[in-house]
Amino acid sequence: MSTNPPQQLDPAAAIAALVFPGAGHLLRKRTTRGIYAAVGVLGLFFFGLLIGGIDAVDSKEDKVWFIGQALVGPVTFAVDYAHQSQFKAYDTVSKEFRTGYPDEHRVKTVNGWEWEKLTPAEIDAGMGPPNTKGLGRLNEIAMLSIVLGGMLNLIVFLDALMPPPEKSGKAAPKPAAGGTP
Amino acid sequence: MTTLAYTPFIDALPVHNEWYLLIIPIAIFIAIGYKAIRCTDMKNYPREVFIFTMQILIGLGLLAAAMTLVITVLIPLLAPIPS
Repeated sequence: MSTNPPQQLDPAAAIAALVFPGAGHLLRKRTTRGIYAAVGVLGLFFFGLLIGGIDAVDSKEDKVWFIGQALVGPVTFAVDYAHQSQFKAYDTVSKEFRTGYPDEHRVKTVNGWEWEKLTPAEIDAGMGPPNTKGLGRLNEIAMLSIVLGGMLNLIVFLDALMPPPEKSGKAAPKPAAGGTP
Repeated sequence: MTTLAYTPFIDALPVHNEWYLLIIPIAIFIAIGYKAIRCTDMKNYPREVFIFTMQILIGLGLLAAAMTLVITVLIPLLAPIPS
């Protein structure tokens, strides 16, 4: 009867992988794999941000997408915090917390940050909201890219948690024909 | 604040007409990350990343062609719109 070597999970590597993509592999001395995994996950994340802008990460308006995006790690929460606190404001009429329209700008009032209408002269002068909202297909592709980064990071996290193939016995050479199993 | 100038990572990239090309970098990043943990021998890593990228792109291309065929040929045959 053959027995595999005991499989050991690595909680420290798992925590490191949660904090930063690929860090779990770096902790397990699998440096090359960790670096490439980080490039893949963060590449998808920042590519999504590049094409969709900061609006691609929005825990309030795109909650379901955000669940997948959160798998990338703390960087997603940091971007979402910046988005909610630095780029959004309250609608003065509906009291909705939202991204600004092209004819509005963000002003600090006694009630907090609110959107204020601009005059045509102010719009011509280049005033407007701090970011433009991502729309249509581009916004979808941007959010999808970041969610794919999150799902990829889930695989990377599990790989960091599990023992490497050479230790778990998966990569053990097969016995020769006629040899003892 | 100004909205006239494009700010990377803040504003959406104005590439609405070239959206289909965005699948290429996404496929490359997926292949880089996935093969980082699934590649058995890292000596073959660049080759495996290239093959996996091509598999994603060709697979999506075939899927797009098949869907186009269904929508433009098959559905009009099955349910013709009366003129």
